[in-house]
Amino acid sequence: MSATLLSLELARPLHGAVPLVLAAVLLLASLRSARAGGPARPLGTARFLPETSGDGARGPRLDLPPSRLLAIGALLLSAVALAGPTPREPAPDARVLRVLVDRSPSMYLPIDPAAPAGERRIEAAARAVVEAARGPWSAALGGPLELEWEPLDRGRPASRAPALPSELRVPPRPAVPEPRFVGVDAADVVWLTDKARARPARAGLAAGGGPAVPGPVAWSPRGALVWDGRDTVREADAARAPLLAVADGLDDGLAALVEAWRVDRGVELAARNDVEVELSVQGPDPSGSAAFEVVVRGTGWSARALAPRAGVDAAWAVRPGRVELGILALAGDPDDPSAFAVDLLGALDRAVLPPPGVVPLSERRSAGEAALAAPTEGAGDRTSAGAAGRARTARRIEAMAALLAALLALGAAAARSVGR
Amino acid sequence: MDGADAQPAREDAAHAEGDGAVRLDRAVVRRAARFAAHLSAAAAREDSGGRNALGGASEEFVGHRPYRPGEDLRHLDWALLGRLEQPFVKVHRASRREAWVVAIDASPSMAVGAPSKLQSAAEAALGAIALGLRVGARVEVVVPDGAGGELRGGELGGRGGLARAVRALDGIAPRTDGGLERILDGGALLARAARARARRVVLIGDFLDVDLHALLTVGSGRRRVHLGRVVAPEEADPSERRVGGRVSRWYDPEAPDRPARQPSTADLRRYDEGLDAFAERLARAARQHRMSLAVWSSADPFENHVPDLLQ
Repeated sequence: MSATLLSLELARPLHGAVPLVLAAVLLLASLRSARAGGPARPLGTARFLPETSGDGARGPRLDLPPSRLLAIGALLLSAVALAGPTPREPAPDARVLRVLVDRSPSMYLPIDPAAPAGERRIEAAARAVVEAARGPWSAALGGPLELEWEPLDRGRPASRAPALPSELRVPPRPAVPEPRFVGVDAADVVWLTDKARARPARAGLAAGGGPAVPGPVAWSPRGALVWDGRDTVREADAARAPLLAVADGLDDGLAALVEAWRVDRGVELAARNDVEVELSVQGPDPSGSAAFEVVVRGTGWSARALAPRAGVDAAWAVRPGRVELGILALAGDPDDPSAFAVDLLGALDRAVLPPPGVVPLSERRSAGEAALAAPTEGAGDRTSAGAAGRARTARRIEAMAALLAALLALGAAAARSVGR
Repeated sequence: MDGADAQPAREDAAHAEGDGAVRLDRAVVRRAARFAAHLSAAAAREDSGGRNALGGASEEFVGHRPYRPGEDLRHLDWALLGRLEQPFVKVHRASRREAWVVAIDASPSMAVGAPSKLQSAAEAALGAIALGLRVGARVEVVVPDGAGGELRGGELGGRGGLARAVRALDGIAPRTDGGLERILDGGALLARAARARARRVVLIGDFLDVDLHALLTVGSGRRRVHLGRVVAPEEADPSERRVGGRVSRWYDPEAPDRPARQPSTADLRRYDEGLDAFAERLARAARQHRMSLAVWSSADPFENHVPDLLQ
């Protein structure tokens, strides 16, 4: 006969019954005594005690003497020691499956083109992985599985969760290309993507599949280019214009060029409260008041400029969705103003992102049928402590409980002797 | 909860009539005599020519002694200085025996403490009486008898005075009509002090029920009033006092119908405020009316505070 207590199994539960009953009796007696209140004693100055107060009106506090509490603790611990506490048989360790997530734009297209708000390819593939991990994959791999979701874009951290984490349900901006899954064909790994491709040798595969999804594939000032499944047509209102945010305090000459580019490209200025913009032109870090005269160069031009630090040789840096200026202002005209303007406008063209809903045609094509394949099992020891280790731990727990019980009993006797 | 339920087992029964009576054993009497001898000798050494701290101001010339730097030059014997060219001061002693009246409070609240406040008050009174007798004073002790409102005690003096004081004080028990307020009530104490032409009136108790105005009437004229306030340790700090591991509940021995209570932290804060205000009122009255006031714990021996009491 055995019982369980927290994470312990009790090998001889009946042996601990006597001290347990004694502890219960002592506790009940102490509570009864405490409810009755302590001894009434005279206090000549009791007139200075208020007649009633908040807790006074609720009756006496349940105040158990420390010696009683220590004695009850000693009895409880001795009951545990006598009952033979043993660590439970450990559950087999869960195997961790690394799910490598494709976050290219096609993954965020709906499975059903007629239901744009319905389940998307990434969600369908993730659901298939979760269901398989709970069922057939768990049985095939010999134990419970834990899923670790690892996006394959820009080194984002992996996170362990029973389902696709919410941060992966949002398409990344700027968009990331479809991964090639190179060098990650390994045991205990699952590729989560949309297109069924050649089955990896060791990794598992969860492909959401899905038919082609017509829609905007490009944007121009004269309207969005919309793919209808066969041809591309121009539609004026299929997508909104890109939004531009320009940092305050930009040099007048640079600001004028940016504004000219914006008007020509049909880009709109973002409002202050627009969270997502397609292009942001950012000035240099305004910290520090010093300005250094530098010479910056681009494609076919050079110019003297003022920069917040010495050694700056590039007027700007292009990132997806933003142009970061490295200079505060031009200190004079560039040696070739036309080349300068063409270079800057080209940088803006390269940096601007497509507006929301615009997905390249290659991403909108059919992903084929869904596919699901289990990964192979990697080497790994699922067991924890063996039987011998459990026995040793059990003896230690028993000895510790007995020692603590003895200490508490001594404490109770000491407290009693000083009238506590 | 009614009063009866609130006090099912009042373990300290010293407040009950007939219990908690004063016990003055031989050791206490010996201590009082020894204390009086030491203090009177010290007072004599402090005799500064003409005025003795305990002997009073009645002046009978008894001799000379050398002048000590810092002494009052008014007591210098200038004639002797002229003749001998050495400074001497005149030494006097009481020419007429001074009268003292010593009264103690025996109200139920004096039963509190271990030893009780009443025991402490009686021992302090015995020390003061022994000192008074030692310096030649006529001492009258006054304790409430409780029977028909009479006061017990009487004039002590001469040989056997200390033994009579012990008989007067021994066996006093706290009782509902034994408070100082009854001694002061109707001017009984004032009448006794006036009749005895007392120069000192010593009142020892907790003064909880005493009307300060009645107290002030006692100290009229050249009569000096000495107040001794006794406080039990649990009255100074009633928080978390345990008996047998259980926290005490407190009741007022002079209001038995009021239920016993285990005070909360807020209660204890208000208690401290009330007690401090009472102590401040008493101290202010003593200062303003030139009464001496000594406060002590009932756990302290009387030798520690009677000198302060009789300052």
